[in-house]
Amino acid sequence: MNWIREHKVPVIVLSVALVLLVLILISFIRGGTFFPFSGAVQKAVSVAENPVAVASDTVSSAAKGIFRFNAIVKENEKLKKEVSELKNQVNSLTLKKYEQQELEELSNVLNYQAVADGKKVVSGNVTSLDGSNWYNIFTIDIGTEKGIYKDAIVVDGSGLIGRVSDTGNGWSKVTALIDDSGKVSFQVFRDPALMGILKGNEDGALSGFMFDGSAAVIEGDVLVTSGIGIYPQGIEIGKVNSVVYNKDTQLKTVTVKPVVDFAGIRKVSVLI
Amino acid sequence: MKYRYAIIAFVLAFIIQGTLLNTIGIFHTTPNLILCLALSLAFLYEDEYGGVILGVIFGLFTDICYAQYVGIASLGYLLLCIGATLIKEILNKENIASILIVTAVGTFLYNVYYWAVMHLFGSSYGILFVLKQQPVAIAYNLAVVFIIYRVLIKRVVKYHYDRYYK
Repeated sequence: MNWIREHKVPVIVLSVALVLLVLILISFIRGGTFFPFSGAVQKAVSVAENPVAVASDTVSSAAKGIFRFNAIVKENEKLKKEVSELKNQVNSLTLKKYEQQELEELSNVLNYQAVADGKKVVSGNVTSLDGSNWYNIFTIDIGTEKGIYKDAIVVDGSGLIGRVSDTGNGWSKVTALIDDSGKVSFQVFRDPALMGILKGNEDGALSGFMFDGSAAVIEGDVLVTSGIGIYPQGIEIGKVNSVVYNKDTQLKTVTVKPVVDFAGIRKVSVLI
Repeated sequence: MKYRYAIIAFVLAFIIQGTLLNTIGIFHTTPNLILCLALSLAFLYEDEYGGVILGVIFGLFTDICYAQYVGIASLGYLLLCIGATLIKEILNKENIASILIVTAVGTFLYNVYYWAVMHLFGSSYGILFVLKQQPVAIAYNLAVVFIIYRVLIKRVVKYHYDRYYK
């Protein structure tokens, strides 16, 4: 006991370090955060950060408006062109509407239900982003009160972001696709028969392989979720950056640039 | 330093870290304000453990709010602050170069430690990806610690420009 009294500070430091080590291990074993007061802490932090997030977003948008006037004018021109192209697409899709009706009737007859069917969409704002400089974990201002649950899928206007890793009343923690240790099954948008598996790679992007080593996937191909696993079918993941065939493993590997700019996310939608 | 001021500083740093800083990040890199505050307090103040205690507590909050696993940042700040407390015995804290060296080394070690633990738990990021970000991350933290030092040194050591103490 005397020894402990004489070495009070080292003993306290070692004890705290030991407790933290145990916390890390339990948290890892349980597959995520479990801290007893985490819900209350998250809620309090979310409430405190929300006004700051809104204010900083407003200031950032205003500053961009001032310093990027020329860029915004160009973007406006580009968007006008896109609107014009989309109008043409709408016209051609109207023709396909009848085809879709026929398919829906067929799916009813066969009692077929797609993975995304019946999913509702709720939207929220990003209140805070991960403080570390390479992980992409962020908090949004909606949670269980809107029906969000763990592993709900998160998307934005561009495509797939990731999944909800933890949630509570008024907050949800989202883990981006590139940080998730899990894998995503994909198919090539151009030819849905070409399928494969993707996961985050060591450069902070996505890489994976095709199921078929002779699959005719090319650079620039758009990849979407295949519907196998937790991700519903048809959500855009990214574009193929490079394709390499490995003779030894007889696998065709692909690296993919995610369609979502993870650093610039401000608003998201959650499929529930 | 009075604890209430330190707590206010940590709360502000924590809120700004997750919100405002992300809008002004360069190359997707931002300064680590909690690390800078904890390290500065641990290095500059004698016989006080405010930096260590608040570093551990706010590290825990960071883990709860942003990290995949609880305790990693908290343990990192604890080890870093204890290291700073030990090394201040052999460095002259009145010389700004001392705290800047401690910050640069501390930032690098913390980020490598964080990567190593996450890698152990299955993260796919490579060490090169992390190392590439270090120059900007260290430069950012040095700038923040420089400001903290200028504010705190007058309180820690009175007449610190005077070499002849009575």
